[in-house]
Amino acid sequence: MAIKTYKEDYRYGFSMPDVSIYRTPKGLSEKIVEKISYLKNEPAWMRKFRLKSYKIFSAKKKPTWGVNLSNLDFKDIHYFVRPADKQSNNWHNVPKRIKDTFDKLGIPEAEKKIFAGIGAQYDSEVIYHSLKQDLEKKGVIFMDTDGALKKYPDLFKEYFGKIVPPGDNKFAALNSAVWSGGSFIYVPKNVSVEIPLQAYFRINAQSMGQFERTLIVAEEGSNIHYLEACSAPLYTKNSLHSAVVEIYVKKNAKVQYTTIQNWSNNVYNLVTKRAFVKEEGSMRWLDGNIGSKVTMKYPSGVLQEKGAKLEVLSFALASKNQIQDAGGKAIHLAPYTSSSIISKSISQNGGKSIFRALTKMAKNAKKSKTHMRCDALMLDDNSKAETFPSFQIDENDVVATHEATVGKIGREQLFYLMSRGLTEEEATKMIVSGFLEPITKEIPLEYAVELNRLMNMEIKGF
Amino acid sequence: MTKSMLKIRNLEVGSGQKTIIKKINLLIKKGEIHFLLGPNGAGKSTLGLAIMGHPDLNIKQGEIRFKNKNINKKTTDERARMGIFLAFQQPVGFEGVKLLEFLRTSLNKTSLLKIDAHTATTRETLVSNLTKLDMDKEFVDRFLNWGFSGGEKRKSEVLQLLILKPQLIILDEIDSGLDIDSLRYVTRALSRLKRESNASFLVITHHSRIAQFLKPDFVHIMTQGEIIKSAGKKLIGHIEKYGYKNI
Repeated sequence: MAIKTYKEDYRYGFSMPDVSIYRTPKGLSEKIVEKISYLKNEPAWMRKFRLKSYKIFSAKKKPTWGVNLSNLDFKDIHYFVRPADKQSNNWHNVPKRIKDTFDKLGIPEAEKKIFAGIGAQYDSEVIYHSLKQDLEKKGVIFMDTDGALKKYPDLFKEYFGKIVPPGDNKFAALNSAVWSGGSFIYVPKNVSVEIPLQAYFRINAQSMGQFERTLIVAEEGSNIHYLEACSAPLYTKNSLHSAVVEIYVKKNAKVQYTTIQNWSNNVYNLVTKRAFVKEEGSMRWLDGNIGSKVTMKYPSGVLQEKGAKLEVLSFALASKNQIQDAGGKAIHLAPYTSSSIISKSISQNGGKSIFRALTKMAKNAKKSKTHMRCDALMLDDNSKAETFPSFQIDENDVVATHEATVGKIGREQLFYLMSRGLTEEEATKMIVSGFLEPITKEIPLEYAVELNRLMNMEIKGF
Repeated sequence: MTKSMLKIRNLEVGSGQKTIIKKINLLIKKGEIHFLLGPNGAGKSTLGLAIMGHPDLNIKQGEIRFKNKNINKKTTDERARMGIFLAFQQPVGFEGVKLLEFLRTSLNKTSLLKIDAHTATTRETLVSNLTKLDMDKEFVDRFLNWGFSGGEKRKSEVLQLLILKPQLIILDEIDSGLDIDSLRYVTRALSRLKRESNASFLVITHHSRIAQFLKPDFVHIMTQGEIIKSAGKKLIGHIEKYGYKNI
């Protein structure tokens, strides 16, 4: 059976003619950072924050502990591309070419069917936003991050840049210098948002960097599920996506953050995501990586108070010319905290998946529990899987468990399903979908169906 | 004339350099039940796997014909879709694959009738078949062969048979690990299936107990890769008395 490459099947790889109304020239300098701030008409503190971050970015070297990033050329990227002159809350008012893109991606349809609110970002800025009225009345805020800086300056300043400070890593510094777009979500005390909110991120311009910044504050006893998806056209030149996500999970609050990452495979996807979790709060990252050229992403949770809980459910599909370096990080700082990091990765057609995870348990994290499990499945002999689980535990009175399996798809499993009439390809897909079941069962049904369809498209016979 | 279902002619099967099955001849006609008996390691299971087209086995000589077609070169899934079914002795488990979902897919692929697998495999029809086998109805939502006991695995194989209704059924040690009550349920369901569909059976066993419930038309004795004797069902009584040594 002929091998179809990932590229041939990436149906989100179409590009639209450039409609941007402004873009900074390629490369990055203090001047460009100032220009972005100026164009956004920002307060002085944000301009200073950006310039300070730029200095940190310039001073830090690229990380060398993970995937080789030497081909990522910071000089060959546009750091800001403005798609339209204003944002809209009505699809009819969105510029036609941009709207056509989102129509093709099925976004307005999805909004009607399954989401309580939706945001759509095109290159550097959010061009559409909506939220159901009843949620607005309850005091829920869901808007683009730039808009929130203007509309809620005090709230913004209180929370912004505290969980992931610019000095955290080179890409967090870069994002802090040139951030644009992203979602700002505020859920008041005891408000439960029953239906997920969604944001869709689209890169259209070539050699572009997208640096959205997402900030979620879930007040005591509140509940929210946020879901993000993304895609980009296929270009021969590299693009860069480097987001920062900060989440506050307060006492008894519950947050789920679901990502279905499906960038085209010319995109470097280097993202920092972290949550602070207070007493009895619960944070769940469901992190799916299907696309991109290189992904490095380890959603993390700092369990700051008694009973705080973190779950990371990660899945990755590494196909031809792709490296998926993903996992999670749990920091236990208080007693009775619990964490689990579960990863399912699949590699095929020469792709490489890497599981990287760290659990730290501090001296006073008594009676805390952590569980790490990674399963890696290789669909052929050319593909690779590596796992780097690690634990740093300074408290004796804890329970830490770890399981790992790395294996090729079972010949006897294939034979069994084929003896029931399934072709080799159908059998492979069934095994893969079963392998992913612990993850897909946690995604809203409509999304799980879409995800299965996506996976079925990507996984071909061999 | 009764139609030929499976015809094996002068078959030699091996794995790598090794020859496991030596020059076997076998004819199973429509609606017949054949028993294949023999000691452990005689090559009985290998014959079942060879008929199903296991990729690790290669045919060195001879041919396997199904409904008068040579199937030597057919892939496993093609054979399944032609109507051959192998009930495994030790079926592998599939975490995350629900039994119901699996059965629907399989029925869709193998059914010779143009039926809609979703209506043919409703939860209700499945539950009624589970009852026939004295199985708990929560099985519908369990993962295929995952965490099943030995008895549950055998029953799950038979359940698939009842739904898929194949024409040639190979049962590999279906009786092992089943208590007498379970064996009764399983063989009763198989007998009913046989009456309804007139399927042919190749029953592989080293235990003649199952013959009390499922009556063979022919009995074959296999030792060291060869069929050394074929006769009517009386041969079973002989084996019970004298063993495989003095035939």
